[in-house]
Amino acid sequence: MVIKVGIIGAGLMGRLHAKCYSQMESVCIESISDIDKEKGEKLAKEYRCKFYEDPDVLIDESKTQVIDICTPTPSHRQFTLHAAKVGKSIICEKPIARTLRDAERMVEEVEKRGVFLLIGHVVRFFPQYIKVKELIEKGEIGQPAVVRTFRGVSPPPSFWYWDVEKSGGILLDLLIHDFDFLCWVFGKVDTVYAQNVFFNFSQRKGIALVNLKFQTGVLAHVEGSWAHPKDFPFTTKLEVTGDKGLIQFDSSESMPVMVYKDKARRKEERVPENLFARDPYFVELEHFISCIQEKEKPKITPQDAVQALKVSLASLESTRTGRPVKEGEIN
Amino acid sequence: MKVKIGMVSFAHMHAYSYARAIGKISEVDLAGIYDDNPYRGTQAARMFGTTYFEDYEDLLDQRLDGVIICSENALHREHVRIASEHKVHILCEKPIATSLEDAQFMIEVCQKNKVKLQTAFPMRYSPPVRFLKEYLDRGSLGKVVAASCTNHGTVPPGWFQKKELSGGGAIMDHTVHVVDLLRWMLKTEVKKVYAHASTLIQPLEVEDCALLSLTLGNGVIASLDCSWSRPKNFPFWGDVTMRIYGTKGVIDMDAFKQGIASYNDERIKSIWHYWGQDPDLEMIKDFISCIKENRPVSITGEDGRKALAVALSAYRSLEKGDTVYVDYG
Repeated sequence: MVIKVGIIGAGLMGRLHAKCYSQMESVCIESISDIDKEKGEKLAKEYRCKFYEDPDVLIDESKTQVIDICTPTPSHRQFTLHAAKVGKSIICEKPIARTLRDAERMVEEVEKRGVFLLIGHVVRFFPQYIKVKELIEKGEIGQPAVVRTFRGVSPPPSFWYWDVEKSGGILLDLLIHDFDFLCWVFGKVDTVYAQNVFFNFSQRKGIALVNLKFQTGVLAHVEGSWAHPKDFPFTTKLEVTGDKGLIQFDSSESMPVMVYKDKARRKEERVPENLFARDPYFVELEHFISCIQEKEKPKITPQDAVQALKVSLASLESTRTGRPVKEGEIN
Repeated sequence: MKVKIGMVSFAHMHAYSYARAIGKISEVDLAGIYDDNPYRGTQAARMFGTTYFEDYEDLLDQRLDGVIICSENALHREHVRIASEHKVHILCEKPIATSLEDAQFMIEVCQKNKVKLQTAFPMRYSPPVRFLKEYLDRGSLGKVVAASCTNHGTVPPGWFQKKELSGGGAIMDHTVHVVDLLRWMLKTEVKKVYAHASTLIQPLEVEDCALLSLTLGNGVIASLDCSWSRPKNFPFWGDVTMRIYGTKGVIDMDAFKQGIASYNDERIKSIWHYWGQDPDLEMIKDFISCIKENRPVSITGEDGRKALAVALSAYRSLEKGDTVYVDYG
């Protein structure tokens, strides 16, 4: 059976999801919506599907089983609640919401309606992160003790990201990836202390340093940068030390192919990329679709997404007060 | 005329590196070694071709120009006092002491006896560190806004694990190097500290993992991972790294990155053979030339005391479970 998907938001993530769906035999992109008519229509034309200027009309009128929400974070709640009310399964980009209240309302609604809410914490589908989790579980490093993560990139291109009130900035939009991964592997966070600075024109550049303690006593230093220059390749690093050893990876030192070319213009001619047999975004969306089709339990639950959100919100609270925040204090 | 140097205790393993450095400087004579552990002292004396003294005073009676003190942290105070009373200049291993009162006493007693007191912060002599400092001094990175730093090591043996002698674990051992570099490069003091620590790698009475969050005087935010988190078979002893974020860009500095990876079938572990310039040698050379030229030391006792204050404040933060303002005494 082919599943029909409607995508809300034709930005970076919407385009990426559309590309992944177009490669799945069991999925048909039924419709696309974006408040930016030109952008939305262009993408709809590319995938030969219907275009709706109003996302709520798409949710009400389109013949889709799945609504995929790829809009800025503050609108996740509205579209999720609407889609759940009309019985659609929902795929939604991370972070689940901007506030805990929104997230909890979303979870409550999908539970009441018995529909899926699948949050795109794609790091759980990256092979290097999966490998780290497997190695730790196999006892490769013994009992985990101290962790370091790094996620660095040039400032995001579109304006809503720069507004911390909307996006939550680095601590929510960028570092929730690491927070989710860390909670997945190390369990519940006990205390969060975070610092961040934003600078340059429109405060576009920023950096965040987070000092976490888990309930088990494991410590984690989580670093996120939107301060690197434009030509800096997206970089992630992870190191975990335990009582029997240490494992680490650095994406900048894991490039299987490097290209050095005179005057390379086209992106694919110059940017070194990690090579995947299957793109982690594709694997993630394929898993979500399969969960919807087979009614199986997803690898990431809405509760997991709420857990990661709490760590981000605790970090934001810590930067506001300049003091440590217990994860349980977030509401 | 040669500068006569005595070495006071080989309790801290850096003593071996400093003694090797002395051997490489032609105008220096290693006049003798005192150690309260006779076995360690005689072994070291044999290794470096010098005399072992069972009595500290006997070493100091050798008309020394200077001593290098590498005893247990808590013993620095007495060793410094006695040397200063013999009018001998002093290079003291970091951390300078285990309390601010001890550090202050050491500074004052050296002033009173008119001898030089240098804190052993060799990283200031590391070429990658100097490159970074000069880059920042030129303003080429714009205004510095943040720094993410590490000073990792393996869990050190013996007295390092005894709070009474060391003053603490990873925090006491590994906070001061990077804090000194931050103070030196950014020309400001650490104002506020928040710390997390755990003892999870070995069953110790002191912490082996710690993460410090620092706020500096000019609003710069910084973090320091000072954990003893390198396993025994890690290819190198540890690291000193700084990622400095400025308004015009980012610099990654890894002070011991210049090395050769070596894999040998007769060893279980691979080894990283560092070939970069030895910061210890440069530091000893500088200390010697301060004595010869009778000029002030490059890194003072006060520098040692200020860095220590940050480590001690990190312990206070742990006790309170909250941020603390650094107490500089």
